[in-house]
Amino acid sequence: MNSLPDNRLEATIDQLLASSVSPGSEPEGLHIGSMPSRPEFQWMYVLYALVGLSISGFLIVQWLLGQHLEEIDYIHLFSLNGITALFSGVSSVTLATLFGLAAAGSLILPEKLKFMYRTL
Amino acid sequence: MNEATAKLVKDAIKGDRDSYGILIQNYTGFIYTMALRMTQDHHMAEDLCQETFIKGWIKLKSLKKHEAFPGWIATIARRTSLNAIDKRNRKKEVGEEESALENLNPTLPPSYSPARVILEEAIYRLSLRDRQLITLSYFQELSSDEVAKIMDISAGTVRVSLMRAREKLKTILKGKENELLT
Repeated sequence: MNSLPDNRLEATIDQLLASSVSPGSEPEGLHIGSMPSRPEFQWMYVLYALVGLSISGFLIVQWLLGQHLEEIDYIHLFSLNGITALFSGVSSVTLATLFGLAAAGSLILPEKLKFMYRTL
Repeated sequence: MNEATAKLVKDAIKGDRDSYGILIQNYTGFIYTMALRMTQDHHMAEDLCQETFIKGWIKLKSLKKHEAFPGWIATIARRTSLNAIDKRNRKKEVGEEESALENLNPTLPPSYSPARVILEEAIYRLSLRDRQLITLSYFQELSSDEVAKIMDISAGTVRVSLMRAREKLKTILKGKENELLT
């Protein structure tokens, strides 16, 4: 059981600790300066990107129209043979390397994100 | 208090600097004390206080529960202080003896009362973890669950560790009741 002086000490400590974190407990003369401007989303960059994409899209369409696309045999192009032919030049070693890199990336990325979150 | 804080946060998110100014006014004492007890350096604590509120102002939009502002800003202050301590320790390791010597004795603001100086000097004798626990737990606006979340420990550990920290503090301050009351 606590003795009377013990209780008095505890009460004093509690009171001092509570007042040490209360509003106005900061030292005299401590002044927090004005806040900077918040970084705003750069809408102009979005506009530039849209304009750039539109121009590129227009030029690509113009180019495609000049390529006589109606003469291409699409059934053959998108057939299983046509698609597998695209990968004929890719060796199994290259595929394994790509898979390995993707797996390593997926393992590292969450840790990196956690670290970034902690440092913020 | 929570509703008033939530309203101020809501307005500050919209860009109202005056509302954020009131939040700064209300929480400077707490944030400064937190930084001071962690770093044991008055000047460093002042800088960290400023840094914490700037980070808070910039990231305020990410705070979804407006009433959770006290815990949120305390988390920023804690992380900012821990990073600063880490940086200071690294500097000491590479041989900046001058700054190492500077930090052997904790520095306190000259405006503190004698009772406050005695209390802070006693708190300096606790571990870094206990110093944080004591500061967070005595801030009226934080529940033990919130303190646990900030410290990344369980609420049960908060209660037990706080009890032990208070006991240690009591042992250190035994016989100084009269000085504390002045």
